[in-house]
Amino acid sequence: MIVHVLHPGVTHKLQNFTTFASPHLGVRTPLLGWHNQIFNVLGARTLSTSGQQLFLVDSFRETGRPLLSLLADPQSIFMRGLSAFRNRSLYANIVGDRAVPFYTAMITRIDPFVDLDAVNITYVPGYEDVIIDSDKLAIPKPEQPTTYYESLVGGAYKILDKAPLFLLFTAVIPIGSLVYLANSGVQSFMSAQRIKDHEDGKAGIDRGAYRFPLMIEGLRRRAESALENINATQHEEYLPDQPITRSGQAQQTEDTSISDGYVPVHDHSSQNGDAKSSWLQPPPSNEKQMVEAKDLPSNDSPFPTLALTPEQFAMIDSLDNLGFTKHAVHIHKARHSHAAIIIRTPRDAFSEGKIVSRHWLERFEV
Amino acid sequence: MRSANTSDMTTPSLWGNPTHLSHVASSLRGEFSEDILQILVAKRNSGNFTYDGIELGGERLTNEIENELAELERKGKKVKNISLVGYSLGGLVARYAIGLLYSKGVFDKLQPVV
Repeated sequence: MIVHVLHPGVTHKLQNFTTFASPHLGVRTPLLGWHNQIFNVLGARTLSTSGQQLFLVDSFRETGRPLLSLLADPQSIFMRGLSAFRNRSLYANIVGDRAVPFYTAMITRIDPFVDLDAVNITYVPGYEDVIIDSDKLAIPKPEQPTTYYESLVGGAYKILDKAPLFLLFTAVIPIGSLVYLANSGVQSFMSAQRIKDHEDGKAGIDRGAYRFPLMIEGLRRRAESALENINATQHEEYLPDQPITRSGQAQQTEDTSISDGYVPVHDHSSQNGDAKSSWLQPPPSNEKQMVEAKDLPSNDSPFPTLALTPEQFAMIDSLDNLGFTKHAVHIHKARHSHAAIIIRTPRDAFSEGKIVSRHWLERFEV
Repeated sequence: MRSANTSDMTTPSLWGNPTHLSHVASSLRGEFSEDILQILVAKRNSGNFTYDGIELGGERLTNEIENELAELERKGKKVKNISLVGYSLGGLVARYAIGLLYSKGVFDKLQPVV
């Protein structure tokens, strides 16, 4: 039941803008140091255009900046267009979304849900236990002193929980991919042979030349899936020099060489007051700069700041300035919340998606 | 002369296709009749095309929306306003399209009731 008060006289041409599990900050796993280089930078450069854009390693036209950064630039046509919407909202999965992690769908620098056992979650009345109260999100449980035995057993359980996935990614997928590729290669070859044999006597055409690009395409897709899967298993890291809390489990890194060529957080490069400014901005300077938690706007939450790039921090500030009504979604019944949140295919395990759409519709203004 | 609002929807992530949004579309339709709400589920960014990047996706979506608006105008339906819903990568494609539509002045042509 929708209850809306329509204000006569309000002329809104753009009403509702909503995203469900959209990676506004890209999909890189917050990592530091060489982990970051391998998974987020080097690996990502081999991806398709979309992949590169999602990992923020692309360079959009002449701007020299990633497209996602441009999309969040306050001067850009993208942000100006978005600002004209009356309502902007988003829905983000807190867990179970391998494709789009919480921080990026929610446009936030923290992840309170990395350990659900360590927090108390408040749900919005009427939408239990799926839609989380945006004001409270998650409150860390008071620390319980654990015995050595308890922590040992707990640790063992965590490893066992992850074992099937671990096996999947280290054994099944690599082997499976190899088998698939080998089979593809063999089938292609055999097929080519058959055709060649059949056409013996006639002018031979080198069919390999046509098949090769397709094989490369297939290989690239396999590689992309593999990389996305591997990326999804990486654990988020946090900026160094932050207090370690049980709920945050901040992983302090020894590696202080964080200068990965990222641009500074607050870009004070000349604001060319070009009246007819295109959506392009002058590329910021290439100064390499470490980002330390103390340099960022203070994180008021009890949760540590994720190891995002300076660009991502700037994007958060810009998008938050614009204003989104954010809703965190807790999918319990399905392992793959990315599909469940909008009931991508009709499945019982996705039924909580109905609570999400009901919540969304009741705020949808026509 | 009828006023109609349009809600456009974008296609999902890599390897997405319009059927992924059937629940979203049908739940919207369940709430709002066709008199009030026209629904467009964007089709041109399916499958392989999602690899082509947000820029191309955004351009395709912009084109699709412009065509839809033109079609509605041809049918004599006045579009009051537009809403956009994006799922996964589609949300970013939608943001790109919003920029293009905005800069092309497409939104200026909408006729909300005063």
